[in-house]
Amino acid sequence: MAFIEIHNVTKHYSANGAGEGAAVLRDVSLAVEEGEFVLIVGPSGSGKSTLLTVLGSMNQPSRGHVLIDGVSVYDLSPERRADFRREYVGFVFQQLQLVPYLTALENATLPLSISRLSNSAQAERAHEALRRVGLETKAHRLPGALSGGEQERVAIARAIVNHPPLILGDEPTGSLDSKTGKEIMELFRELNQSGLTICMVSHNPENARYASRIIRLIDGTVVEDSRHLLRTPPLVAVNSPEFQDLDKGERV
Amino acid sequence: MRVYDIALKNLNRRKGRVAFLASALAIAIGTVVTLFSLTKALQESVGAQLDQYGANIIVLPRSETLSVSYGGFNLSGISYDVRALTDQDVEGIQSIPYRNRLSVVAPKLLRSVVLAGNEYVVAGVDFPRELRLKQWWEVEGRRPENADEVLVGYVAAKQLGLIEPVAENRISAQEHSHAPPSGQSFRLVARPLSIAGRDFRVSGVIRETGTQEDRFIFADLKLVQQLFQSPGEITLVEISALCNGCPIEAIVGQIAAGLPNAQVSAVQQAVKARMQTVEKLVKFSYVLAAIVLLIAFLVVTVSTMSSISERTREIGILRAVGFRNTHVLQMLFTEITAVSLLGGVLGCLAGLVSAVLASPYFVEAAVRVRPDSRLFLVSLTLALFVGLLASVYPASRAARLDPVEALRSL
Repeated sequence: MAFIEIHNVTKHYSANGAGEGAAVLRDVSLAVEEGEFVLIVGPSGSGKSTLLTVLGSMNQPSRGHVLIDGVSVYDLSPERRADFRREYVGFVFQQLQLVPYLTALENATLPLSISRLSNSAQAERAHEALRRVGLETKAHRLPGALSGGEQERVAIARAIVNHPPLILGDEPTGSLDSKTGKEIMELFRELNQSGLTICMVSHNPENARYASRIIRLIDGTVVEDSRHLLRTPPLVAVNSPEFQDLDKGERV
Repeated sequence: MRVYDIALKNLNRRKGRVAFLASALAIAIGTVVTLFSLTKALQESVGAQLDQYGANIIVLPRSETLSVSYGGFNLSGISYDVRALTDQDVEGIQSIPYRNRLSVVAPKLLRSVVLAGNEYVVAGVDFPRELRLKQWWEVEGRRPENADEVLVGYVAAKQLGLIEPVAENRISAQEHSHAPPSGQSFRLVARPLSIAGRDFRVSGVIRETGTQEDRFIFADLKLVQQLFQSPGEITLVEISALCNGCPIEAIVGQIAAGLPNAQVSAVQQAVKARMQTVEKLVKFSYVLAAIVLLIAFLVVTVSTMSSISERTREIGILRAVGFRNTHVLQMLFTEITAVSLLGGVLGCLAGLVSAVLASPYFVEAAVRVRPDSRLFLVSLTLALFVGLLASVYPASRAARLDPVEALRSL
């Protein structure tokens, strides 16, 4: 059994909450092994982010099943699903993802604040997470006093502070300059190499070099699933015809 | 870090909003505290004034015969009491559980005498108590200071030649009274009054009251008991109960329980009038308080809704990192609890200060607005109740927020 299994997932969004709207995901089936670095690409509106939130146990599919580590997450109660999310999944978003009135350390501590860990144990783990992302010296700064790249690092620290096996990233480098974006992707690669499974949505073709697998969605359907890529970067030359093919329809 | 730490840090960041919410609650609670403090002081003031109107309970011996009317009450025939009251009965009255509610207990022994061919009533009284009870008496002359001095009713004094027209020396039994003299001006004629073979000095004459007391001669109780060979005997006891919110029926019941030989009656009319006044004041303050609290409720609801709308993204992040609905609720209610307590404390203090400042315009100087620990607790409870109740709907909406929808606002 794969670490993540998605069976025939369909997701509709209705405009007013009544009836079935247009399908954002259509009969998607996937299996992700533990330790994979999956890059999800596709044009805007293709269902990438929806797939990510479905994977992250935050978005109940209209049909189909999602199993993570053998647990059918949408069969859990909403409260148990929140607990599952805290234990199994770390989220990293594109921007504005930190709580503005909490310091970097406190933001990194957030998932632990509802655990039974003592305050000192929480702080110790948050410090370690910040050290891992190279931001220990700015632990007591508020998000407003951090650069975009530093904020992204804090978000990564928060995602890993609970030692979850799965990290989900929704365009984490989307608002960063290319240099900072590369640094962040290097961080993700390190995390992946340490054994974490990573699923990431990205528009940036350069990020493909860090992935071991690229899934392309169009209109909510998986049109390509490239497992042949190797994990050692650079996996695919950014300007190679192979990547251009993978990210067709998107800006390159 | 705990959930309440997050809540408190958020409050620290949003000082303006906290100040607005706390002020809204403080104004509401302050208004309620002012209202209730003033109402309470008004109750005491009105109660104190009403209590000065005289007796509201009367104790008579049980008797089959009713022949004399006194002070608006029917008294049993003076000569036909089956079982007379005694000094011990008066002591019994003063030892009931509600004794601290009894303002004045004034025992009397009534005996009829014939002087110069006319029939009068000699009333043996305890003068300090009697004068405290009959604060409306206006005494021409002075109050009795010795046992051989008497006060005489206006009609009796006139018929017995104890006064003559045009006099200036008038004092009032009601201290600090500035009321003008009533009735015809007269002065005392210095001559003794002989009752049952003993001469008394007339220290003063009570101006006309329009009651049977105008035909009374008031003398010292012990001396009258001695003169009429009735040691320890009491005809009736007039009681002024401080009935500012007191259970008059319970007091009557307690006195009756201690005096099985007596007939204890409450002056229902006076009591009802007092109670109606008090009830109207209380109802008025309840209505105003309810309106003010309703406004505060709406202000808190709208402000909390707006605050939560602004924090959709933040709530989405918390839900994404694994916060349960209950954790979000816990955070929001911690915030509103802190704000409500702040509003409650400020409101209570502001209300008390306002009440103290406003009280001279509403109540007598003798009645003061006093800080009350119960009022403080009630203020905090009320602020918490309004704050939490007003936040239930916005907070439950926030807790039910779909994390995906919330994160879309990123």
